Amino acid sequence: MIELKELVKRYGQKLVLNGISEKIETGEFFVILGPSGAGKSTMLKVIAGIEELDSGSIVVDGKDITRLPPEKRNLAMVFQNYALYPNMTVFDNIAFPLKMKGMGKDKIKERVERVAKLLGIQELLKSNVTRISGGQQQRVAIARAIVREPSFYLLDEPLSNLDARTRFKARGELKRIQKELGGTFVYVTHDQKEAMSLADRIAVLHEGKFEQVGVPMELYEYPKTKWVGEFIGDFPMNFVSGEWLGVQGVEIGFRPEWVKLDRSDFKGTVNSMESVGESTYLFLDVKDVKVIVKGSGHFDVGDEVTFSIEKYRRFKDGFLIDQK
Amino acid sequence: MRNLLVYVGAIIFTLYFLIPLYILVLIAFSPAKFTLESLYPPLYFKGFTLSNLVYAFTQYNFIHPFLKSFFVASLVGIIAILLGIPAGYGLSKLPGKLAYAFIVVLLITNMVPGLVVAIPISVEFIKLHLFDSIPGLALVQELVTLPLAVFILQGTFSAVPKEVEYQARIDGASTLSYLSNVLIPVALPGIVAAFLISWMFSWDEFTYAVLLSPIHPTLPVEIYFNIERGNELAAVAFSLVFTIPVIVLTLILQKYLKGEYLAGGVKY
Amino acid sequence: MLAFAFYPSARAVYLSFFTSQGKFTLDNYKELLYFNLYGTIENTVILTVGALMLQLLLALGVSSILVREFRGKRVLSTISIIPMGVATVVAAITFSFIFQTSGGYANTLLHYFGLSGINWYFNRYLSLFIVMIADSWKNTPIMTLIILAGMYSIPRDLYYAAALDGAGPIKRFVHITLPNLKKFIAIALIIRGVSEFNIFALPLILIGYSPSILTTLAYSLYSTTTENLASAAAVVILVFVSVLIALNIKLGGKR
Ligand SMILES: Nc1ncnc2c1ncn2[C@@H]1O[C@H](COP(=O)(O)OP(=O)(O)OP(=O)(O)O)[C@@H](O)[C@H]1O
Ligand SMILES: [Mg+2]
Repeated sequence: MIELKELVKRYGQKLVLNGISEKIETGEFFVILGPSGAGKSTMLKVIAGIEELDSGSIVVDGKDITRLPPEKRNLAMVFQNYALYPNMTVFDNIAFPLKMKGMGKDKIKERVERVAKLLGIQELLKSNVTRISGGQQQRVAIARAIVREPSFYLLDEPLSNLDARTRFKARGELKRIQKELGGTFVYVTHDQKEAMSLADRIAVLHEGKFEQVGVPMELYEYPKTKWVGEFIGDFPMNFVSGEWLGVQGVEIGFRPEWVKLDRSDFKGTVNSMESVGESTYLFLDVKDVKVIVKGSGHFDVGDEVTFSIEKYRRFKDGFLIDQK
Repeated sequence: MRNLLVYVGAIIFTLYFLIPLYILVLIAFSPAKFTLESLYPPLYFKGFTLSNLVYAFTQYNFIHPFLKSFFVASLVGIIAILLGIPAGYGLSKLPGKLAYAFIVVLLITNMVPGLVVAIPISVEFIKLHLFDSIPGLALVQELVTLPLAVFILQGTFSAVPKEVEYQARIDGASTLSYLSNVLIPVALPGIVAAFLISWMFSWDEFTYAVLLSPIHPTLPVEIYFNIERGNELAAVAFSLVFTIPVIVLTLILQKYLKGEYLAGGVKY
Repeated sequence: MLAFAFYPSARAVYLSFFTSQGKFTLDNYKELLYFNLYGTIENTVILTVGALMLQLLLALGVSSILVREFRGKRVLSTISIIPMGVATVVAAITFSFIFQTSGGYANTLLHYFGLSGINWYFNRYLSLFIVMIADSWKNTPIMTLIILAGMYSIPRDLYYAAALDGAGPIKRFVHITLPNLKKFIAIALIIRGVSEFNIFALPLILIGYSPSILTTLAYSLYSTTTENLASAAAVVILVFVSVLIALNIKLGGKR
């Protein structure tokens, strides 16, 4: 178990982590989700010991590692740009952490080959790491991370440099590897879709705090704040005055998926639209407010659309007031 | 048509770069009556002789200056690397502005005129028994080469992503084993370039050499002295042996002599 | 490191204000004036600026050929760095043979065309010009290396785009190559500029002490008169170089 206690990190005047506390269970796939510049990489660097904390502490399996240098923390990290050692072959890259541990040659060879097999890169072991494709580099980086069986793994947007198709494949594989190893993964991404599909739990990082931590469905169904509601989901949650539904003093939030078309409660004009598979998301102007609704079939700009809100959450001062 | 222009240009530049060397060879291997002693020396080989070279090497002391140059240059190259690697590594880790300030200061040192430094230093050197010695000369030449070497090295080191160093630390490497296992191998071309440029600078260096080591001179100074004394053929012969190994070296190590290294600090 | 460079400089400044008996004086500087200080400074400036321009032009020429793909590119690029391996002294000697007034190869060439030989050192401008040529021969390669690195760093697409916009080769050079090379040209001029100002062996061998430039003047004073007088000349060099450095930093700061 990793316990983060009141982590605070500043760069000069800029407060990047503003008192973050959370417990990450052993064997959990824990995703930190946040927009670019939110401090996700900083968070991992602090856990890895590359950057020093201003205050707070990190306890792993009951042992305080806050003051330990990175090489003593027994963790593995995969960087966004993979950080492969360009002067070494694939084999030597994967073998490096074992070598640093002073492991014997035969043992290293056996371990490296086993991991290479797990990731399907046996054929590449002799290649130079600068001469293989992005997807292959990413596997090498993961192989290097898992080869020494650390107590947990930190992954900083490891899939973001891959093309869409490879990324999709790699996602599934990553999940499989994690299950097979039973490892604790702390995984950083700015892609909410990736987070939803990989995570056991997601922590949404915003303005130096975890704004909400929960299982993917919970974040989707019960966003704790308006900000989370807008950030999670393929399209942001809609927020309108409670008076639409006759509720006083609150805002109501509803997802584009939570409406039914061709019901006469509300009427809007199609401003623009976007197709996703079989569905079409319509951007409507309703009573001077912009609303996104999900529909299906064919629409044109200027069409009049009617709909009803089937499900909604109530927010006050930006915070959710409904309980699940 | 466009290509024609390129070729014409290429040929002109080729001639420009090669003609002086051709003349040097011409004088070295032709009897003096066709070269130094004629009013309008012919531009082609009218006769061929080895006697100039034989005469020069038997009559004049060539080996000592050659060895002195060689040892000084090698020492300069080695010191530049040994001191340059830690300094360059340190600089590459500093934040941009601070590193820039350091580099400017370093380059200023590099620009202080040789004569300004050499004249007062010669007095100190006599006291310290460094005058006319190999380490003394090498040390002073380091004034010029070390800043350049540090500049080149910090440029190449900065080009290695910092994540690679983080990764090495996480993988359990100490700073020293990161340097020896990762950074130095990765930056090897830059290191070779720094060594080579230092070496070549020292091999060529004249100002300090003539002022601080005139009694047992280095080869360039010896050649100059021979010219002064009117032993022009000896000077030519020495020049030739002085030049050919370095040209060969330059050509072999050509791939390390890249402008990128010299422009090391230029970032986008 | 700094102490190593600055202590001697300070010492030179100190020496320059004293007589050889150790009394404070300004006479060293007054005396310098008898050695045609102004003319010497003028010569030095002409030489520095001229040689830099010549090298820059040549380097631009060689580089714009070398960025292209053509047969024999490797050969030219190899040949173009050869002078780097030739020591300055050797280059000086070779050029002194070429531009000898009697028995020089340049005059032979003129002779072939039926012209009479020229005294290559008959006025100071011509003498300085010969030093510029020799120096440029030796130092164009290093300039070329930097400029070429710069040219390679310019994306080819820019040229294609400009060509599609109707810019001819010269316009492309002026509007794309030059602006994008600015930093590299600056670096090249900084690296070469100050060493150009300190140029010593080449003029010493090619033209001796006349026309004099600051370095040869200081050296001749060092070997013929007192250290103090030589230091005074050295300080003049230092002043000029400091101004150059200050300019560099100022320009550098702007980038
Ligand atoms: N070494 C540093 N010095 C100063 N500020 C920094 C430093 N590293 C990061 N920052 C700042 O801290 C903030 C968080 O950076 P961080 O790299 O952690 O963001 P991120 O969430 O990983 O973003 P991305 O998704 O773009 O990778 C940013 O505003 C960044 O500018
Ligand atoms: Mg990041």
